[in-house]
Amino acid sequence: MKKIMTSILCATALMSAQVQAEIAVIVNPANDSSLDKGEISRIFLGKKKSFPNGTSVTPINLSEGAATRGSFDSNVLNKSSSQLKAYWSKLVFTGKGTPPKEVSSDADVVAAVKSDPSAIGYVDASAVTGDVKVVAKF
Amino acid sequence: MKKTLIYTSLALAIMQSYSASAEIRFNGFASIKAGIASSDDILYEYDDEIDFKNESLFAIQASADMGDKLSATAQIMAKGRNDFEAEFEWAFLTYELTETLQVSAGRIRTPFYKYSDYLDVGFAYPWVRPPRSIYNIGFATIEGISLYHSDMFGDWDVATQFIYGNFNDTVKPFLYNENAYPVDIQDALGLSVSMTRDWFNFRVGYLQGDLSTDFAAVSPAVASILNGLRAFDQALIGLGAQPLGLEQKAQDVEMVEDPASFLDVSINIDYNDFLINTEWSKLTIDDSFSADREGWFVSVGKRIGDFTPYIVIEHFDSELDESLYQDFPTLTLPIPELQQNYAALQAGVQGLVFSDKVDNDAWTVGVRYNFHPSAAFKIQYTENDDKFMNQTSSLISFGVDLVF
Repeated sequence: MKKIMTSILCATALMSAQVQAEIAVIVNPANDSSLDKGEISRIFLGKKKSFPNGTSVTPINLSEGAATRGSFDSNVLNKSSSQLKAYWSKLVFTGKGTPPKEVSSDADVVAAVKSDPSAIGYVDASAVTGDVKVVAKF
Repeated sequence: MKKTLIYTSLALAIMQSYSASAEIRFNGFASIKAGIASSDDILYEYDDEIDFKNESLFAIQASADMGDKLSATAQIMAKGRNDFEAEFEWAFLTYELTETLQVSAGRIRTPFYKYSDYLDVGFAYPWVRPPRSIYNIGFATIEGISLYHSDMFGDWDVATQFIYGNFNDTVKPFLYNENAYPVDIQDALGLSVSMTRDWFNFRVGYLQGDLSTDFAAVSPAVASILNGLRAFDQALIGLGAQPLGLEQKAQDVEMVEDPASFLDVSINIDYNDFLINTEWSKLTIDDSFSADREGWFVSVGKRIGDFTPYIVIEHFDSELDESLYQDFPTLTLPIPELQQNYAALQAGVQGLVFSDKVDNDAWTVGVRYNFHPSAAFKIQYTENDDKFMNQTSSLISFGVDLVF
């Protein structure tokens, strides 16, 4: 019984930790762009295809199961996963847009951003390394 | 035959680009829907026995990015109402002229309505089906070219689409027509502008074209009226009398390259989980017996977690061209039989004009439940009040929409 209580407590703590975890939006160190929340949201919704300096942008998304993905969707894009699915199906099935490429973990996002000057991604703030540059935190 | 060839080549092009290791993407969507109308009634092609086929469909889309800003898209759809026979719903090439401007050519979606682009993707809207008082033009695609521009002006996202093309197929238009008609539209020209700011969207769409429909080929009644009008003048000439110019009347009745125009305005709000959608449209086909048709709906819903309950009210009516039978040339003939024939022709034209009479209210209450990130269950009850025929009918429909 005690064990169950402890694991429930642990799970709750973990869950709230996930909710409160900070998201870092990262770009390649070679990228000198500064971006606000609106611009980041537009990039990940496929509405903006270049950085303020004019170079084209390749957003890297986390796959649906990833914890950081959920908080990014709700805090930065202000949309639930169903809403986003509906949003993208509108664009995909009319040939007007394609959703960002998805990778499965924070480490994969860091690796993709590190190797591509046009990339932008987001990870849990604790996953940031010196190979990438943080442009915003939420 | 020619078209099939084009789409097959397009499909082959996509396959080839796959082998040439271009990036190819497959997406799909499906709907399984069922409906049952009130006893002895028919509403939206459903009768009082449950039917799972009418609105069910499966579709798969392949998009190939061929590099250098060129891409090819083909969508194959199998609709239950066509016995799940797979057809190219659309197939087009797209070239990105600039970051904000793209040109597409092939079989593309006609931008009649706010939801035209994803009419069949049920997952993209709250209802079981888009309200029929508006969404009742029996076809959705066109063969031609489209220019699509999308950019931000201040705080507004503005998407503009220009299309030009032709259409030729058999369609079942409007709410009540059980017959399918061969429809041909030449030089269709359209423009739609959609403006979005935060939670607010405004869209207007306009299309025009030269429309031909061979009603006579489908309806013996129409054929006999047209033949009657033309024969009558000949009969008068045979009797040494002055013809009445009924050939002109026949042309005013039939639909041959007649100017048709369509206007649609919609306002859509998604604020604090409140969803308000409203749309109005008007279709006019000049120089024919066809009435002007006007419809609107207002839908209000609210997202509550995974549930979105909604209500919809709709109206659809038509304005008849009564002058078509009212201003028949007066004729006094010494031969009673001919006089009777003439009166019958006038009555026939009047009947034809009245066949387009619509005066219709409807309301719907329903709920969407997102039971999965990629799938939604919906159920709704619709009541339709045909005020012209004085008949109320209802329909329960439900189903699952998914995207993959």
